[in-house]
Amino acid sequence: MIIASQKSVREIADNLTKHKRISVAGCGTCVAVCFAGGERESEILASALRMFFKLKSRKVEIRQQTVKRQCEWEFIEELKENIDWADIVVSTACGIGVQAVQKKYLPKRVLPGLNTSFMGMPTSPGVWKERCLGCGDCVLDETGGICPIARCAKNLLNGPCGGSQNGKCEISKDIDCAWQEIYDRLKVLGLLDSMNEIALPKNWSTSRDGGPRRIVREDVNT
Amino acid sequence: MKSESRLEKLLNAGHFAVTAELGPPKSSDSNIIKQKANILKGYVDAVNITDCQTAIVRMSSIAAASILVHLGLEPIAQMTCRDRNRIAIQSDLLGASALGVNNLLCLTGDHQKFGNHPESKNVFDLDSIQLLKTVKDMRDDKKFQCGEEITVEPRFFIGAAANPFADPFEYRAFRMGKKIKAGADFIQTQIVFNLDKFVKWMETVRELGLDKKAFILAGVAPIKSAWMAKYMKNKVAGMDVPDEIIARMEKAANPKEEGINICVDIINQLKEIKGISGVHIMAVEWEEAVPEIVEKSRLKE
Amino acid sequence: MPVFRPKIIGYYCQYCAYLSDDNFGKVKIPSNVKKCKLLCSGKLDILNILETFESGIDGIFVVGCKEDECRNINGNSRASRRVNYIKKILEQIGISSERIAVYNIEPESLFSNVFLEASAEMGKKIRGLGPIYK
Repeated sequence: MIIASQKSVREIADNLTKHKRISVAGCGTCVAVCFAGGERESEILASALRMFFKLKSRKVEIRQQTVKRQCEWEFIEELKENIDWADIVVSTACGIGVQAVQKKYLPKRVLPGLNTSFMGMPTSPGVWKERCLGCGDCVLDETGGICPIARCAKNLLNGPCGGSQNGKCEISKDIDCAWQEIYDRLKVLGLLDSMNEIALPKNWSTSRDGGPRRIVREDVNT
Repeated sequence: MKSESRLEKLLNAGHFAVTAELGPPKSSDSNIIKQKANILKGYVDAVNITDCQTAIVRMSSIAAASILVHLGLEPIAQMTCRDRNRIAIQSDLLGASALGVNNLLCLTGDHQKFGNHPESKNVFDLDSIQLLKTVKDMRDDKKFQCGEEITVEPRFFIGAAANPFADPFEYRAFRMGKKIKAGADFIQTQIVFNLDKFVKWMETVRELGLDKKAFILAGVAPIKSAWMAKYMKNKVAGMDVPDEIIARMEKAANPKEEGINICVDIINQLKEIKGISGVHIMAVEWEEAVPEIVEKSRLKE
Repeated sequence: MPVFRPKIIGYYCQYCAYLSDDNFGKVKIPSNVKKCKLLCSGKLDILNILETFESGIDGIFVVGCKEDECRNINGNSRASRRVNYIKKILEQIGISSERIAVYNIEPESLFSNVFLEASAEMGKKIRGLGPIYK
């Protein structure tokens, strides 16, 4: 899923200089599961903003509403009443949701409440780690199901660099060396020989380097 | 001969080679390069020119290497994959060759997190092994990475780095084999302090016959102080400094002299290891130590 | 000028305050401190606390079991971590993070004393800070 972290309330509040009615829109999918922008988190943000304005003796009304998803038009529709009422909207969805809501409700302004960070998963309670970069050309079949594009700091394709030590990456002791993990995994899978194969330069055109991407499915198309 | 490199000629003639390192300045001052080059001239067979090492902006390695060519020294330009995509890499290779640079060391490159622009975007379009293959294909097949032909190809004596002290240890010799298969003609290793581990690594290297397929130059470095030894042990990724060396540095009345002595001791032991074709002295910001090390270890006789 | 009497809520865990009614009977809690029992300090809720501050409460403290002695394994350490999160938000919006604090029962000490000490300490601290909204 998409993992995001919360922007500082201050950073958000500094953009709400002259507004009197603010609508905080939560998203009930990925960012709810990673505790960044779901119903509770957007309520917390609304409460914090109310206090902020109270301290400044500014009369500001805040409404909060969370929809199932902000990345599909049908769900965003439900926000209409509260957004029409507001002067400005803060969306605690991922960047996709913010863009969709902004497009749908022009000319109302929609601000991001989160920093959308990566595609990943929780590895233990309160810890989320990156797992996929969406490069568009999956190599997990060659690397024992561990992605070096997303999990190696240098997205190497030919094994660990000289900075791999005690299973950790040279950039931080908090980051596991993806290639140590791949090495261990291939050993378990009996595929260690593949570590001696030269992986040729990657075709990055399927990744973001090829420009914004789109997928068209004729079978789904109406 | 694969190239016009003097280093290649020397190594092929069975000469025990000595290379050193020269870090270009953090400025446009060519005099600094000339001063450092003068210290090294006559003592070493070739000089590595680092490519923004530890991700700190310095004068371009190719430009600095070109200055060395004019001074009559043999440069080994280092090239990392951190800052350039395959377009810029190949373009720079054409330019380096045209400027008379005949040796190239292909590296992945330190992550920019350690440098003076930690907020920059990195590239890593290729990794070091893919870079080696690209350089070799340009030279031997006269082809760009995309497959298009090159009329006048860059002809480099191609080098790669190997770190016997990084993990997973049992893979390290194989990884070097992969680099040789991809195109490395010579190897320069990480600084050797832990000789036992290095000897063990070399055993695997010889078992795989890699010492016959490429020239292996063992990395060495003089340490200036006990503090530096500890720093390298604890803070520099992929570095293995045994406690005996730290203890020797701590006990020394004149640490700088002791640092040079340790370096000479290591060189003398490296000379005895089968399959070692030379040493690479990494006296970072201490080029003055190189002549003394070369003389004391009788590398130039 | 009238003397500022801060409005404070003291949350407490029912387990370290077992026999709490008896306990509270022996000490006199200041009248500006409202007691609020929790099933466990780990039940402390971030949104609820923020809304409490929003409603005009000047200070909040939480009394939990001593370290490593939570009936629910780590409810008390959860409470501390949630309080840290709340402190971060308070600082971001310009409210002193001193307005909320956690007190853990020390070994050998009596719950009622800790609650009383917390009331006094927080009372003093909040009087220094003044009302949450001027």
